[in-house]
Amino acid sequence: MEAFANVFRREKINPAEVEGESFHRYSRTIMKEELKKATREGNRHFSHFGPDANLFAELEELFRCYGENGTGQRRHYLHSQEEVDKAGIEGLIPGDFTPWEGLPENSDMLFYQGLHGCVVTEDADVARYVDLKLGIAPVINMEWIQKIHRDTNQRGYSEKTVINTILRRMHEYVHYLIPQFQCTDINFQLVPTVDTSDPFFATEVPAVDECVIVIRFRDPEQFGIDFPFLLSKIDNSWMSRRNSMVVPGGKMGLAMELILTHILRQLMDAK
Amino acid sequence: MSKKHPIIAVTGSSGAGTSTVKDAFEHVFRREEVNPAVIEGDSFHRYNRAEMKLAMAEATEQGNVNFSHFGPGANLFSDIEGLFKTYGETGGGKRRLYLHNDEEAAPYEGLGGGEFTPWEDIPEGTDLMFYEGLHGCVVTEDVNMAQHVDLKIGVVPVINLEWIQKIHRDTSQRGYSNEAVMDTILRRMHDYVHFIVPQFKSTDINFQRVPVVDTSDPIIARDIPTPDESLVVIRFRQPDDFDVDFPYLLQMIQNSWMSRRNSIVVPGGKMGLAMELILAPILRNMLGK
Repeated sequence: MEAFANVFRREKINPAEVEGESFHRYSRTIMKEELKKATREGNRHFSHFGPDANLFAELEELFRCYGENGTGQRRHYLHSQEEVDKAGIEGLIPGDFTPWEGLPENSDMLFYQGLHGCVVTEDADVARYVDLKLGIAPVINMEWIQKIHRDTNQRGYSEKTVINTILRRMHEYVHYLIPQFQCTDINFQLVPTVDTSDPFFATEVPAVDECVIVIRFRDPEQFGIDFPFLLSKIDNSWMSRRNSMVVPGGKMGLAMELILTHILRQLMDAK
Repeated sequence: MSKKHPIIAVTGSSGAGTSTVKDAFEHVFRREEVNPAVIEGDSFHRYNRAEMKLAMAEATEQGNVNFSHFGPGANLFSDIEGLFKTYGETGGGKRRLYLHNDEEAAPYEGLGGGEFTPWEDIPEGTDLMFYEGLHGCVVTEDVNMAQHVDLKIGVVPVINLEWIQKIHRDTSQRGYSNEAVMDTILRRMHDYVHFIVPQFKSTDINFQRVPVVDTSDPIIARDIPTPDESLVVIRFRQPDDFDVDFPYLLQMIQNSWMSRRNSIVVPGGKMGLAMELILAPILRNMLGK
């Protein structure tokens, strides 16, 4: 999220950053075992999208705790050998977590980026402690194209394996990821303007210039959103509903920075 | 590509704009004085509505969680292929109608909504076959519809939009709960991915409706995006095959633009216009006029 980094730097905001993957329940090695076990037991829906593979309650607790006193526990998920080396902790391999640690002191706000920032289940309500809820939601065809590309080209999986993974995760995708977008304050949705009708065949991921961004404000008045200002600043943008504007794909960064600067200032002032 | 008995297949789910396509074709057929043999995809369902319910219950009992109207279990794939083959060769073949409701069934004695009429011969002297349904370009190990079709058109929404439409129709018109509709969508997903989606890689022209309002949660999206709230992406697999004249289209369709060398984007409200502009010359060429 480069736009956030830019706004934080310019506005001299010091964020405590939390990555969604650090709240996975299992390390990569154990996840593989758990997936096998689930399959053996006939659970066809076990995935990184749902409550069984994530620490929703711990995430809620972090948000609650930070909101009250600016502290809380976080850790890091180590994606690669490079990150393992950087962490410099004996005995860890890629796919492991670093030990839990206290958040750095004196941060101005907590910045969470991941799949579950607004999850509400019977056991956990993460959304209620969040002051600004942003959704970044591609249309599903596009999301599938991206996953297929990444997993087949970079990770060497067969297309069939990737399709099966997508289908396996569908249940939790629909039940845990999608419902979050109904409570988000602002959604940024990447909409391709090239044919994505067979996501499994599309030879290229649509480029940014081949997309438009739909930006929807749940309640534009809540943050005093000035649409005429945004429309004048962002070339070729237009309103598609009273609370929604469309900007060319290449203007996503500009649009985010304009919107976020305005809102983050309000959040800082309200402290 | 003038051929004696050409076949046009419009493949796509209802609600995606298939009715706009149908209207556009009807206009062009009328203006060009073309007499089509119309085939509706759902007349090749394997089961009538009552039988389908039983088949579904049985499949569920046997642990088949993917049984749906999208796949080979519930459709007469080889009969569709057979019809295409016969028509292409002779201009004849058998068809029937699926009666969606009692109103449609009224003229047929002894038949009710959800049943089929008996098979009958296609009238003689038609100029072409016009198939509209979900399976016009299916290719599996056992069947190959696509090889018999001379003009393959895909009408496809992005999935979010398709879900919104289904959820709307099923909850507001048919009284199902959100949850029940979502279960159906998930149950059909396997067949959708394996039998519906792959067709769109062989189609000659795809019309894809893309909403420009937020559809990130299709389940709560309260209104189906209107044509004015969407764009239509039109992709030609091989623009040269049909001598597509992009500058002409760009001129004729206000606010249209090219997004790739073979793709043009038009405002949602212009879908019908775009179709008629594109289809008329192709049809003339096809019939050797």
